[in-house]
Amino acid sequence: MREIITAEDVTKSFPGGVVALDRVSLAVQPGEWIAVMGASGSGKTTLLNLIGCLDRASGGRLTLDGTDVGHLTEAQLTELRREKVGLIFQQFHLVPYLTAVENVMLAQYFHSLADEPEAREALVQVGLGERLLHLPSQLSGGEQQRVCIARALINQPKVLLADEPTGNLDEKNELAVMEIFQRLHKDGHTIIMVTHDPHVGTLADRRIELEHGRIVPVHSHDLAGASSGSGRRG
Amino acid sequence: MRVRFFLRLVQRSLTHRVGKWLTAILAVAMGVSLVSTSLTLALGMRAKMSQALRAYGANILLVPAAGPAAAGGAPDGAQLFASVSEDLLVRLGDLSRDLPLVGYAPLLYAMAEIGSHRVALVGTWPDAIRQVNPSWRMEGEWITDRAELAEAIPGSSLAQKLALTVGAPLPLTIQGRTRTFHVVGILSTGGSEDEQVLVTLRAAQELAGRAGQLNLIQVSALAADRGMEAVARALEAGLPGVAARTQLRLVEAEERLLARLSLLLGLIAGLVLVASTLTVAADMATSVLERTREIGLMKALGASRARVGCLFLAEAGLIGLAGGLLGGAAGLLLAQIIARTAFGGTVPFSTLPTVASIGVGVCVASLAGLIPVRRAASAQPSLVLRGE
Repeated sequence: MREIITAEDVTKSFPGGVVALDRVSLAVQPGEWIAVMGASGSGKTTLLNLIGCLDRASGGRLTLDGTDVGHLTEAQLTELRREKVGLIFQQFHLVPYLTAVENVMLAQYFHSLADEPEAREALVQVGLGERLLHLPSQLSGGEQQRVCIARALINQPKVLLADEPTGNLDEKNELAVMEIFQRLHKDGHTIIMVTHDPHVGTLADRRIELEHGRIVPVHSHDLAGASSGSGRRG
Repeated sequence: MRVRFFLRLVQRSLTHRVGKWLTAILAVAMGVSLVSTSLTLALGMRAKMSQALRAYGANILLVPAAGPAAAGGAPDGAQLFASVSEDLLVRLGDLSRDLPLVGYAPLLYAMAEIGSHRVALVGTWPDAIRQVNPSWRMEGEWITDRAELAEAIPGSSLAQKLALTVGAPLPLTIQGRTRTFHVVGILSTGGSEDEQVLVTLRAAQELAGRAGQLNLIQVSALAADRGMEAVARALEAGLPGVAARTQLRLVEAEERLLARLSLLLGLIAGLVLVASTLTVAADMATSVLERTREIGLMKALGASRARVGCLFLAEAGLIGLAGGLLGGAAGLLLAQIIARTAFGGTVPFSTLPTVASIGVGVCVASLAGLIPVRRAASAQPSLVLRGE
């Protein structure tokens, strides 16, 4: 099966000589759930930014669903992101003056057409059928994260990128959100999730550990389910 | 659905920050109000003056040489105008035989009281004033006798204000002396006479205690431009102590005043508009800065530069629209106040200044929004994942 994401010697450096990612190579199969782990500043979020076409690599080659993103213009990157990627954030990033359903419709609007019944259904699917018209300030952290997940899923993206999705949640909400992720994984979604939480990491098919911008071997966990496209660099 | 959701977004965003946008709206309104005032005055007063030139029968005013020139303007006090003796009328009668005069009407102004209202009382020869001003409209009857002492003709605005009808009694008081007239007609001129009460010259002189006096004479001459000036000079030569002012000169003077006023208002409007633009630009820049994360999110969700730019530009445009509407209305009001105080009349409502004001408001706000909107459109989507 063709990999949905490939990274070959991908490097990202910032002005001032800071190297956030150092020749990272990676291959992700469709439907795979990958947990990206590592200490703060190890390059996890930078990797997510590059895969999500939110930023450009300084070197190497990165493909998303067969498209080499290195040669795309800003507008083409935006289009690719819009079509292929769903983003879930640690801080939810809901627009404060829009209701839950309008926040979901926002993603539809930027993708194609805002469809309110479809947006409502997406929220019902994440258990927020009773909170459709609430503003983010009227929702708990867990509920906000579920709105964020519904928004990420609404345009049926090929890849879900989640940056510490349970980082701001209590245990109960963490469990609820992880249940949704497990369901999504079961439905065949490709998930790349940055997390600090070893428990959350164990739910993924495979874990990648980053250290100073490089992928290092994972010591603490049995790599059950790891596929042939796993991290090749240490 | 796309447009509807776009409008919903803009509306939600604006109402969320309505307090913050208030200064921007007021800044636009301030600049726009001066533009509106300037345009309303320029258009309205010019139209009114040319209308006055066409309709006004009297084209020469004879006033005491030291007195102010005011074409039928309402006096502010009983003795505002210098007076001349009515003996002048005899000499004018002699002169009229050699000059191309259609007619002339003497006028005496005094301030009178009707209950708690102060009104301008005008004493004249009713038949003569009618001859000199053929365009005036009368509801009811004219006073037929120059010696009549009990009949009065209020102006239409005044009659409406005091609910006066033909046949109604009209008690007028000047310096403690009261005489009750009865209304024989209601006069409509479209000018300041609509606010005044017209009686015979004799009645006004008696009530004001100014026997044998008058303030000015309206003369209708069969001449134009230079010919009118020549008649005016001949009248001045034949009537010592009297200045003859042609209506043309008065209009020119008003036009000069109007031009200066328009220029001044235009300059102030320009400066205020620059200040308004800067204020809106500062508010927009602050808003963009405050909403960096929100913009980053929109970009991360796949919003193009154009989509983000349109959103902010629409907000700027609506701020301009609100400021334009507010400023346009304020400008109309200001123009009426200036017209009343500086020109003693009102200016007609015209759609052009209103439409132009709204246009200026939208343009100013959009222009002010350009740089902040550009910055918003180029915000990096990666900001949201970095948590910045």
